Amino acid sequence: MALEQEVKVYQSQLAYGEMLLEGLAADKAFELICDGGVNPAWIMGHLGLVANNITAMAGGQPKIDVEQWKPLFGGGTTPATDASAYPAWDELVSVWKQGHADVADAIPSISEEVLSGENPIELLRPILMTTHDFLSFALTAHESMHMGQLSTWRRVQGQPPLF
Amino acid sequence: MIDSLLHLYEDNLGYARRLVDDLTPEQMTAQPGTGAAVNHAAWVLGHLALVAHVNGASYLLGLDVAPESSVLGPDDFGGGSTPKPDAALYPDKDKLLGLLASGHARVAEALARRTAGELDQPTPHPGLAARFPRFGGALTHVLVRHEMLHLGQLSAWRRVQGLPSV
Repeated sequence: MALEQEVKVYQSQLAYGEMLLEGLAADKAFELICDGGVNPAWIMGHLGLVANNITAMAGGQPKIDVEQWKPLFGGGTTPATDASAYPAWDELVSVWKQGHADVADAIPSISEEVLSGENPIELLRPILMTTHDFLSFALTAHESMHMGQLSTWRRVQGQPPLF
Repeated sequence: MIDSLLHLYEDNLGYARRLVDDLTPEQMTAQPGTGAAVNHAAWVLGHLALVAHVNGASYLLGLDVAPESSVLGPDDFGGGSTPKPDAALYPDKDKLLGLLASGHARVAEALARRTAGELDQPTPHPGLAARFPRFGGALTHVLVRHEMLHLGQLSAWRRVQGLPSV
């Protein structure tokens, strides 16, 4: 199966993310620790949105209103600290977790023809030419980069390393 | 899969360069926040170079340890080591970037010689095999996911210090 190993890595990010989020209170999740930074709420929303977009790309049904989430969590959007402007923290985490299961189910149904075709995200096409390139990046590097941001968000506030 | 891995691995190196390009020697070991031992740029570059040269990617691909990597002590850069806010304790930025780049080059060359069939074989590393039974998964974890996790840490670390996004 195409992208089988990438999906394996994607699923393993779920366990690490859960470790990073353990004990995090809902109100704390919207806290920004610097200008231009991101908070756990934005990271979860962003990764949940990406997962739903991938599911839709594979012909599946998104579990969220993607058009409503885009202005809140799309790439390049700026997180706000006002939690009332966002879905509830529990929902953000739930969408992210469900997104992992949905993506794992959806990937095998993407045809080789689609995978080798042009990346539907025009902005990323210069560096990720095909759909396969995009998915490979999204399942591995992209989610991991945001997990790293979450890790630093914890650590600068004095929380201990996980390893 | 090999082409995709090589592409993402190369992109990681470019991203690492951009993340540290504008840093002064003092900024390389800054630990902003409440005094916790946050992973700073010198530690991250050294850690990733160590993984590329010695105990991660090179090990998986069966490469010898490069003599130039002897400055990357596991006590300073190994997993679980504690980054210290003292630039004098670390090789400078150019040296660390050079080590990371040479590690990447060795790993990329070795990976390019592998076949897709080999990446479908069992992972030759007991610790990783439990999570990634296939060699391709283990390599994706070490080359792409692990590197990008630390680069994401650096991305946020920059913003905490008021440095611009790259």
